[in-house]
Amino acid sequence: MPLQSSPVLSYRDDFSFRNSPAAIRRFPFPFIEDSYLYSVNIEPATSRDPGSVYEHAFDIDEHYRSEMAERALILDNDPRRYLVMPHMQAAAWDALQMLMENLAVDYPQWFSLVRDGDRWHWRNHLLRIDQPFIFGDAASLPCAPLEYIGRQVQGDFALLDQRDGDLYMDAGLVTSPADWSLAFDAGMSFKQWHAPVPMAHQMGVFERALKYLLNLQAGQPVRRLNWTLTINPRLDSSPETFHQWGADRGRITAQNVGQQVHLRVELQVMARLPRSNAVMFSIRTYLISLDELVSHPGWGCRLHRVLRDLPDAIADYKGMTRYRQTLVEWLSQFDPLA
Amino acid sequence: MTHTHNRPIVVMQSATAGMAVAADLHKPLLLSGEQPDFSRRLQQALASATVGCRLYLLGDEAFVWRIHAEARAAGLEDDEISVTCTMPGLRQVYCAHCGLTQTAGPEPVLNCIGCNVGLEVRAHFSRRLGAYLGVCINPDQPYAGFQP
Amino acid sequence: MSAALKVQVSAARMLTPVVREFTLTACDGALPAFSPGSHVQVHLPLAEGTVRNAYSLTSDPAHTRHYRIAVRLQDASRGGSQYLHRQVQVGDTLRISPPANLFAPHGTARRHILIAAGIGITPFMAYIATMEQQQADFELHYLFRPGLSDAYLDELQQRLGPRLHAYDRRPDLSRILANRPLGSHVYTCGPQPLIEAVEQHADRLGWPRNRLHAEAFKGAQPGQPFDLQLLRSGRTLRVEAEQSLLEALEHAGLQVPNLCRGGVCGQCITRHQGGAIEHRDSFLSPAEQAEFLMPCVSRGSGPCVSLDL
Repeated sequence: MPLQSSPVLSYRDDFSFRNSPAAIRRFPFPFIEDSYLYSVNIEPATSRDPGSVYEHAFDIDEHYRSEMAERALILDNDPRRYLVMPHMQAAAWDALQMLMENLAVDYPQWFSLVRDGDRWHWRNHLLRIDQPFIFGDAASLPCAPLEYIGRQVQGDFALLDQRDGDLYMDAGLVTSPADWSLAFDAGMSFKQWHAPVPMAHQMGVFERALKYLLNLQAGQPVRRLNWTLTINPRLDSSPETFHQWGADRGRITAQNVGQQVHLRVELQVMARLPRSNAVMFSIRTYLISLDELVSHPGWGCRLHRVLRDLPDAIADYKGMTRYRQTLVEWLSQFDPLA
Repeated sequence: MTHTHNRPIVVMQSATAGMAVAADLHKPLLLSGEQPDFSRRLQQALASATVGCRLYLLGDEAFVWRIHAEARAAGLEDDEISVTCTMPGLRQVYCAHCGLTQTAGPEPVLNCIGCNVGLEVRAHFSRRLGAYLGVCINPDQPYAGFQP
Repeated sequence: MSAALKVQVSAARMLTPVVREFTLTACDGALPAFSPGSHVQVHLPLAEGTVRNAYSLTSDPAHTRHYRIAVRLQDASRGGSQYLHRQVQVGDTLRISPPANLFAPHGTARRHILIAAGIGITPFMAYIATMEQQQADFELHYLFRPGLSDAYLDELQQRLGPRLHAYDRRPDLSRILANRPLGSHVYTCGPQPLIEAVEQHADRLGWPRNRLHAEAFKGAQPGQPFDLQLLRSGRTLRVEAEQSLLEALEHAGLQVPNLCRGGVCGQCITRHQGGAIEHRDSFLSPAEQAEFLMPCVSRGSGPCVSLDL
């Protein structure tokens, strides 16, 4: 999709972030029926629907410059958002390679990669970056490889080490998490970092998902959608800053629901990194205000039914308890049966 | 030479904390946190230990998870370390906001000594940090200060 | 499953009288990157149908201009290794599956103790290349028959110096495993009895199992022929003595996911619903075997087996 050359929009303070009509049309609305319960909703991440968020492995959209500016602000304020344990160096280079190769092939108008053995030349026209470097030599880049490429690709990245029949979150660059902390979760096994999620454990969801991911093959990535709600288009809804944004949940009224409540959808892609055998877990976040969302036929009605019938434990985990009633009442105007 | 360095190691916060455990083990090496040169002795024991060694930790949560991290750094695997919290006492809490790991009691709330945010201690636990996650309990008044 | 790769045999040489090494280059495009311990399945067009054998990649994972595999001639095999030794020439094209890894090094190990027997040296050739680059702490214990199954010995002696321990009979495993610093991990690649012996000695010394890693080279072994009833499709197939059950299914056009073709990875798990079965896998528990079988290695031991396919 075309990139706007307009000024960079903000995900904080005045929250100038907006979606264009084109961005609303391609928004990955996650509900395929009128109710929601956890499932291992994983599918092969093959390219489909040209122009959609599913066309390319790593989606670059009209918010690219804004999101990269926001990431830079967060990283500069809080270096804990980036972490690579020593045994994950190879995986970090692996991730850099996968991201650069994909972007250069999928978006040749914006990114290019020229390789001559270990001597690589990366160009990012959107951010005016022109960087020759030696693959594998961190000193030839301005910063460590995962941070370097992560500052140029939308979405968060966690790198998972596979050992002892489990996956360990031993590296990552995470600046737009839905209420989880890389600094705290680093080093945890798959089940340990999912421990706070209610209900799903009893359903065996994580056992099945882990088994599936341990068998992930290079060249055959998979994807799934996850969702939550966020007040204001705030990318950084991390525990680190909860004391700054948590109060927003108490300020929702019938008058500001449509403008302030945002559906937050994560397009998660899991790919085997071929050189290191690590798994790259990329989390690409899309935000849409409810005013924008209900402009799409059918979405307001479906969201009403999903949120109305959501089990309390899940609603609480997703942080909507304080304003759920206001929200559901507002959404009911879009449901002909309500 | 064989079997000298994979003796079980029992680390107790205080001399009385783990005698029952030690009695069941074969020639355990006993270390007590109350010994004056405890840190040096622990370091030595871990440095000379060989694969096959099992480590038994007894004490409050703050103590056992601190030693656990040291043992992991020395190369012991998780399942070679047995953790028993024998006494209710102190535990570590990681403040999500300023990143400070601090010693706290068993109470569910505290004021962070680093940034003064009132924290709720969640059940989420990190073995790497040996700490529970502490997150602002009242974002409407983050710095109001919780009065215990 | 992803599509097979077409490769050309760009070089071939005898490493010993029974081990032949092949260098494979891509016919079009580039070869996918791989991690140490990876294997590929080589598709072998034998007279009785295509057989797929798994071989470890021995080349340096940092360079994927080509792949290398080393194949031991198996006298009692079903013909796959004989085909590679006697039929395949430089310049021939082969079809291989993309690399997969079921035997990766442990990421947080401080010392890697590699134990290879004979052709079991192959995955460690890639390990060693990577570990040398990463300056990891490792040592190789290599057990072989001199002049017969000692592939790469000269090269390893030069590269590894005192880190190579060579044996022409089974070494005292207790000496290898005793008094190892915390952080040591052991990797064994060789026949099943060696792997079990390492486990027994390690158990005795108190090693926990997650410090032990092993890859057995254990492909499908021949057996008695039997009939196969596919209950869902109503078809009946014949599994020949030299053919695996999985190969018979593939021959009949059925797609069954699979990686190791050695009863280890669990991908080809299939429900059985009748007939006596000889389970030869190391994936299923006895309880699971009552319901499922691994067609890559297991077979019917009576006249007929029924499957939920």
